[in-house]
Amino acid sequence: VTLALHIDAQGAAADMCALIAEDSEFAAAWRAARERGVAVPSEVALHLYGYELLERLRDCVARQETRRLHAPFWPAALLVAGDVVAHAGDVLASMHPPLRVSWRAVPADVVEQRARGLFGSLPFDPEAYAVELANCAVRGRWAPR
Amino acid sequence: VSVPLRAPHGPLAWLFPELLRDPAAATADAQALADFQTTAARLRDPDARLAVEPGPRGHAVAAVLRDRAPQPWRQVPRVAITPAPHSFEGAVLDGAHRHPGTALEIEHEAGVHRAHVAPLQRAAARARTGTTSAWVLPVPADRAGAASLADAHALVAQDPSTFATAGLVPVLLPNANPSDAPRARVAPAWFGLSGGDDPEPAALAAHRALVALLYPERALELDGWDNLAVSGCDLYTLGLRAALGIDQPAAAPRPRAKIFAVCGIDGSGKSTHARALAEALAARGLRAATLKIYRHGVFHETVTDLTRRTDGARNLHLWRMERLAKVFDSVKCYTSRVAATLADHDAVVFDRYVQTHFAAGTGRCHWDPFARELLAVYPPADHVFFLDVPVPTALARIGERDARTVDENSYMLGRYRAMLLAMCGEGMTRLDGEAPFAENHQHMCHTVDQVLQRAHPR
Repeated sequence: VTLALHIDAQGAAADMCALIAEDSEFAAAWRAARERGVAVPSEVALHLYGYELLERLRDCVARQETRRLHAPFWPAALLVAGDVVAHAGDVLASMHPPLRVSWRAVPADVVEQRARGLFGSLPFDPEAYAVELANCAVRGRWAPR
Repeated sequence: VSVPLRAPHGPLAWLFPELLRDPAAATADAQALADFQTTAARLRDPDARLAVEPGPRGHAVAAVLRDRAPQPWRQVPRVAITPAPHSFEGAVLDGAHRHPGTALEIEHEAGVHRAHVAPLQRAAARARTGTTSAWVLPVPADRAGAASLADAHALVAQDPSTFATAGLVPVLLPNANPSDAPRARVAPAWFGLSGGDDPEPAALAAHRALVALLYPERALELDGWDNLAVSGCDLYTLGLRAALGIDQPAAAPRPRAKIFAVCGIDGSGKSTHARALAEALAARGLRAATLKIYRHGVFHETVTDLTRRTDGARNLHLWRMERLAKVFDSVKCYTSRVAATLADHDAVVFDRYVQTHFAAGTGRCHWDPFARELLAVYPPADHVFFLDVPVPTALARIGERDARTVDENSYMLGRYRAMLLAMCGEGMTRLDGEAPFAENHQHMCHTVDQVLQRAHPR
């Protein structure tokens, strides 16, 4: 089964299944951690986002989710934008179920707002993310939407 | 205001203390850390500029400062360094300067590994290769990559102890040509011996064999360090952050509910005791519950699949990813379930608690991959019981119930057990897991009564 995944920091459309939203367990956990004053290197947050997307995608396969899926960020672009040179992103991506990815270019300020909502911080450069996401789209031949 | 800062010796010195035989070098770390602390105290000066020594060590310091400093300090111009993680010639040759004639350098340049294995005088070597290396041992030009490493192996094998005693440190220099874009995946402030995952597997394997030949007793450790490098871990920077007291989260406030936990390696009988203890608490008229912070379902299946990617000693850096995923799942579990349960109960008994994560992290990785930071959301337990069973007993019990996981072997269970034993003390009691159930249960109930009595004295 090939899953349809839309990458869009602007947010999910009404008919989409949002995998990592601001009211998700993932975001709530980061909020709780930040409230305790927890500070970890940015690469930890970005690795955990990559893992979270993998887990949510596999959950969709298990649940036989048929809706178009939504995630705010694409992990590979995040790692580049976070200047994370050494990472496990390739391994995590290799574990994704088959994906048909679409994407929307979003201004850096929107990217930043979404990141702060999700992580409670800004663990990457939003402008670099916007550029790298476009690069990923070209390499992956993703459909714009 | 320009604050000069001498960058300290980095992880390579930790790996090879013999590089610090020179007394001046040996004291450099301590002095540099003192400098660093003094400098850090001056960061409040909004006009301060920091001049950091170029190279990977300077980069490490700069990275700490950028992350740690107040907001204005995070502006790039305030920390000036040369981010050149892939050009650290000289740094790895400190030992060679003090032990001339014994160093070996293996260059990795433009995808080609050139190990030079016939001794030359330093000046002649420099002239021939055009490098700044202190000592170069050349090989025929038609030998490259893994083959040249095999040559090096053959040379060193003739008398490994001489090379090892002299402090020979074989390092694959990633991408030595500065005109090339860096390709090796190593953290900017850290370099392992292998140069990241850029060299082809055969060359990496040959390099690993050479290191094992020189330092058989440290080969596994060095392999671990390399995997940390590839996974982006920079223990040097983390060590600096810890030394400066950075990133110490505030302790979570104690909830009204009392927290008890039963920990132990797999097969120690935790679940049975946790349920019984909760029932005993309920029998005392308390609203009691049991909780697990290690969840099953898609999380467990995914993280297990991830872990299996390390089979055959591949991708060992994924052990850190596995720990991060497990720890963060427990943080998610806290927000989705634990916090609410603590709020509407008088006592909660946990089947495993944060101590299990601490033991698993340090047991597996030999350092704590951020478990203490991330798990700061969990309040400290009022009391933890460690059900201690010998590893053979645990394995026998596990074998009776289901298939073993990758951790359920004598080595890893032994590591976890050792870590848990080390944590025992005030607030955490070791119980003999081979003792009769009733005996341990009675001990738990007695301790719990004492805790409750202290909380609500009559």
